[in-house]
Amino acid sequence: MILVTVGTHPQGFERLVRAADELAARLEEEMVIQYGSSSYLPRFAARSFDFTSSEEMKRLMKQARIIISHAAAGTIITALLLEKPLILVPRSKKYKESLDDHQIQLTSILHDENRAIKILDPQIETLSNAIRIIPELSIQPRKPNSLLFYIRQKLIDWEKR
Amino acid sequence: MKICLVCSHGGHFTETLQILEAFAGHDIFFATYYSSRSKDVEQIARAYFTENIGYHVVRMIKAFFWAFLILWKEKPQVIVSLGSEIAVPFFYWGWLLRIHTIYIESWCRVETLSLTGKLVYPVAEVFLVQWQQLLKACGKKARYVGAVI
Repeated sequence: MILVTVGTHPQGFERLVRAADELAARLEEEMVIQYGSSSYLPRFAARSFDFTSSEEMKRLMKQARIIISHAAAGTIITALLLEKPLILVPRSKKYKESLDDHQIQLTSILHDENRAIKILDPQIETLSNAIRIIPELSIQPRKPNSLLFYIRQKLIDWEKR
Repeated sequence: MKICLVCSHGGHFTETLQILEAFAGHDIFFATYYSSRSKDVEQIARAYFTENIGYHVVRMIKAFFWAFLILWKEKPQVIVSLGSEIAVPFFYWGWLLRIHTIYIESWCRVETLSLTGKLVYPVAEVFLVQWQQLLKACGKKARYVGAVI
């Protein structure tokens, strides 16, 4: 199953939802689309809905073979922890999908680090190409967490005072 | 130590979950927004909830009163937040009330600081970013010591 998710943003993400739905019409694999606030309603996906509980979303993410998502930290972290192949389509300010372009920057760095595939222009072709090259993508598990160590140390320092 | 974890719902809460281990052995509580995951928050620790502030000025002013009451009641020694705007009142009170503060800019910020990051920077005791390249956009106080993932 391929899961497409655009999160709980108040803005829609028509470009991704439309392209994914059009791709669903051509794919044999089942596609589930969470379309959030988008005005385009999927017609070809096996299942689609606007919002659901976080438990259900996690269950779908576990079940999915590939996750196609907007570039929001919550979904990306969950996908990386589950070690799922991830295709990221960042929201763009230009199309009024986001207030700024920080999702584009996050997508680019994760693409460069080989942790996700970046698609700036979601179309049937670009999405299906990404799905095709997924097996070649090496997903890196978590990096050693020096942040935790730093915080723990800081708390110890403060406690001593 | 008593630690106040401040976060909005969604991704910021997910990020906060990744650093919970760092607080093992400490007494933690949450200040966050009402959401579909409110129950998840309460399963981890006691929690205080308020409505989503967003860019709403009146709600932000109300949040300053709300935050003060929580800090007065709980008297935490440390405030920690990974965003978003709900952190603003807590960090300003923390600065005035001399409570230790750690602000960690969200993992989703690679090259530019969030508005919350900019607002909190002057008053945060420890200001961390999760990407090396973001240091260029910050003052001298900011440090990069790793990321949640």
